[in-house]
Amino acid sequence: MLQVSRSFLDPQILSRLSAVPLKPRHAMQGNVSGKHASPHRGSSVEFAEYRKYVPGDDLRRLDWRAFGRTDRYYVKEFEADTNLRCCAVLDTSGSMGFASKGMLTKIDYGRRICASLAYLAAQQGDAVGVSTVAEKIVQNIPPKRSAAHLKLLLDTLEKTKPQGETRLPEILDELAETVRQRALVVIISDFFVDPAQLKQCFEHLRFRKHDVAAFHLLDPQELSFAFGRPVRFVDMEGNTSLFVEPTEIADRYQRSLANYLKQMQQIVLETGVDYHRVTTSESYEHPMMRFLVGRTRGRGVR
Amino acid sequence: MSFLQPWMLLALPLIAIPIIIHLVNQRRFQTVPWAAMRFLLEANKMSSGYTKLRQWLILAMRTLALAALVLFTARPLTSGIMALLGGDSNRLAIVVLDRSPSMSETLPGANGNKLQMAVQQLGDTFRTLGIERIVAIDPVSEKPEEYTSVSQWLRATPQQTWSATTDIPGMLEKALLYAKNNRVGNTLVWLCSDMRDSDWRSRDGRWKAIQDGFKTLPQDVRFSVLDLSGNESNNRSVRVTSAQRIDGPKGPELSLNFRIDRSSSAANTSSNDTNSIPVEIAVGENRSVLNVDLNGNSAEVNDHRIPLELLRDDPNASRRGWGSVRLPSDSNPADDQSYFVFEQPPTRRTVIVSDTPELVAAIELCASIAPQQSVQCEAELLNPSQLDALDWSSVALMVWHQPLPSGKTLETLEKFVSSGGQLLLVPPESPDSNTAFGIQWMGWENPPSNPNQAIANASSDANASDDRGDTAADGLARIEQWQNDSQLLANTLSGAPLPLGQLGIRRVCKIDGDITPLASLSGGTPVLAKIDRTDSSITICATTPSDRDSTFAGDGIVLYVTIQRLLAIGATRVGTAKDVVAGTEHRIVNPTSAMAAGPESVPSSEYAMHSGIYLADDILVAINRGLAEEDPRMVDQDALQRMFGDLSWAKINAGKPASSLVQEIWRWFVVSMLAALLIEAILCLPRVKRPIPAKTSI
Repeated sequence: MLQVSRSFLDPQILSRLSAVPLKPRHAMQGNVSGKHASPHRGSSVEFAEYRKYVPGDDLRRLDWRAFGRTDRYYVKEFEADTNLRCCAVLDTSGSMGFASKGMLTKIDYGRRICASLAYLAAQQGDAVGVSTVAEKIVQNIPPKRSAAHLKLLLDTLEKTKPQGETRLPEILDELAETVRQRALVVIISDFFVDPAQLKQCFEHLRFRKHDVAAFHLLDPQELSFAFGRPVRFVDMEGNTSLFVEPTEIADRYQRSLANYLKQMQQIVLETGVDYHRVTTSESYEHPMMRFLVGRTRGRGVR
Repeated sequence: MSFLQPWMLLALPLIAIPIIIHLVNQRRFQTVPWAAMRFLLEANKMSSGYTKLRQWLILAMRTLALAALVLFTARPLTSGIMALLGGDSNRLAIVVLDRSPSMSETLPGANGNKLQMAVQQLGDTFRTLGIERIVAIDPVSEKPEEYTSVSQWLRATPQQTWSATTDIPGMLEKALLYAKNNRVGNTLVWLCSDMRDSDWRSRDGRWKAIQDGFKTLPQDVRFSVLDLSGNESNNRSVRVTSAQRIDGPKGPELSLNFRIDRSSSAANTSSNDTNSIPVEIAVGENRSVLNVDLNGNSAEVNDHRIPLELLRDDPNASRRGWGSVRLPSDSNPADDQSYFVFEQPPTRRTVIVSDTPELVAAIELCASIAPQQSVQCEAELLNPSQLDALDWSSVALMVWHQPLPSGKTLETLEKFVSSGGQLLLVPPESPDSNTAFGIQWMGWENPPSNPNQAIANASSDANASDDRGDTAADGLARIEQWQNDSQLLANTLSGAPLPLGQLGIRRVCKIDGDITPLASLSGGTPVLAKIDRTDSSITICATTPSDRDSTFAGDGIVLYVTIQRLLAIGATRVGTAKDVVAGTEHRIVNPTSAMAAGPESVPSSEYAMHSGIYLADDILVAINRGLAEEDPRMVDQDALQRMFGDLSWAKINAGKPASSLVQEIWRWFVVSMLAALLIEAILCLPRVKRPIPAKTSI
């Protein structure tokens, strides 16, 4: 395995995460043979079904024992195994640069999740690619399996800076079309966009039979809105500023945030997205572990 | 509202502290780059009505708490007395107490009478305000009393009313004199009264002088009128109208007339009370009870006979004595007892001074015929040169048929009149230009005969018809108008008017001076008149009773009645038993007099002010409250404004029992402050809200 040393990668956490395999929730469609279930029949050792022989079938695949018992021709079919194509989408808009005191910025946090995911995928021989997105797709590295590719990914992640506005819905639509079907699409963002638009994007990705997972990154201060004195808030994705008395507006802010999070939960339930709300105050190991363990519970469906 | 320490109000700007902190806090903002801007913008768009209201309420509560704290330290008072003091609690307090009988009334729920209530409330007020310099104006003593502490003033202030009507303008004149002479500083004059017009004398001409006097003072003088007026809840009063010793068929008797009145409010509230009142009549030490039935709100007992021969205990009682009529006690004890004295009627002596006795012979005749058997009358004709030898003390009526007196004679007559004697001026045959008693004879004239009928005033209409008839053709002038409400020409006991309309006048002597006509011819020429004096003791007859001048002698009824009435009035000075009004006879009743009956514990210096029976130089004097006390009129706001004019004054209602004129109300401000702080704390409490879960996985 390629030896990497990055500030955003913790070998100890990676070693603990490696204990749990990265599995898709659905059958994937890879390029090569791998560990994951494929929607096609293949030559693995795992029996799939009997099928009536039709002229043209390879005679070597006839089950003679079944012919002996039933005097009919049956072809024995086996499951096909394939590799996983994992596409990590990292939001690099300006809002991802926010961090309250003593916390990681959301982009740093997302970088850690993204790098760990890439490492884990590469470690089990799956193809992994990264798209950094803001107003547009800043950088798009398609999924590949090679160790050198992992280095490229990590280099790219290292250089990523938060800037620009978020146009996540449009970009996700674009990625849904450009990424080949049946891939694992992991979106790491603060999702500060209109939930209705997000729903449409998630449905689009699901329509393309992608396995969609979302890490929703939130800073603790964004949740608590704990400010003591009047504050002039400057939008990190534009020049808008707003002067407020936090004690006056906190109530309504909390109401608005709660309403938004409720909508998000509703959307991910409806669209079947593997959703993880993450507060940047906790170690990224925990959401990653929840993500991985959650996927081991169910068996892949073809 | 006023304050004991108004300088503490300088700290009132401190209430701006919360507002300043709020504004400073607004400027001490921090700039924070923020990612979740969409929620802020959404929150900003949401309705913020309650939140803003809460913020403003919090600010208001903080401001209110500070304001209450400052006001509390300034020691607020309930009434506007401090405003009256102009913030100067070191003002000299001049106290003018109304001690008239009506101030003896006890209001429902009160522990003492109005006077005691006023003294107690004033004492409390002085203590609260820290006033130590007090001057009390006393109508009896010439010099106002000065006190240097409230307790000293309270100890010295009498808590007992007297029977005299208070002369508030007179007391204010004394206060003015004191302020002028003693160069006092800023002064607040406290006038405690139940606002009776009889005490205030709102029409008195002295008020103008009082206004002018106080306005010229260099210091600031203000007036505080403590209004103690209140409805008399249950009050009856009694007044002896006459007490005469008469010789009855079985010996000497006392004929007593008295009147009982009940206040209208008492009549309403005590509807369950019986209308029969047990009246205790005391003659000397002997007492009897007479039940008197009230007719409506009053009752009049006339000619109640008490045989004097039965008074065995006192051998002199049949000749001269005293007594009282007393009602059961009620809300005002000051008018529940009326005293009287009686004696064997003295000889009613008339002295006629005339050079032409034939012209006044009719007067001499009328004056010498007694109206009752028990009364002795005598008339004496003198010429002016015999006056020096005259014993004036025995004269009841002086008829002066001479040119108007001057010099020593005038002085002697003035003394006679001022001592209660009656003087009847009859024009001489040849009037001169001499002036006396403010009048002058202007010469004889023949009034035009009046063919019309005599017109009496309202009450004499019934009799006027009898006067009509054959008088038009005799060439005599007729009396057209006369005052039948005056004492002299009043109707007879049966209610019939005197037959003045029948009198014919041939000649009258015109009069120049300030007079009040009692009977006038057509055109207003007076025939009988009174000289405008306070004692009303000089009567003028503008003609003589001789046939040459009038028919007074021929129709002698009017002349006889007039002379006898004058004699009856004048006889009061001759006797040794006198009925006087409280506060008017300081010369007769003085500290050397002895009190035979009356209120106890009265200082001898105030004898003349209290009702009772006094023995002064062998004269038995009954002192009673004046008729003015029966006058129910009150002084209203307009009258007060008229009396005080431009002076700084204020009326304070002090008529509530057991209440203080001024009260510190700092407790309310402490409560307000605590309430404001509590409300502020409640408003500042954070809302209990469901926390947003930090992590969620689906």
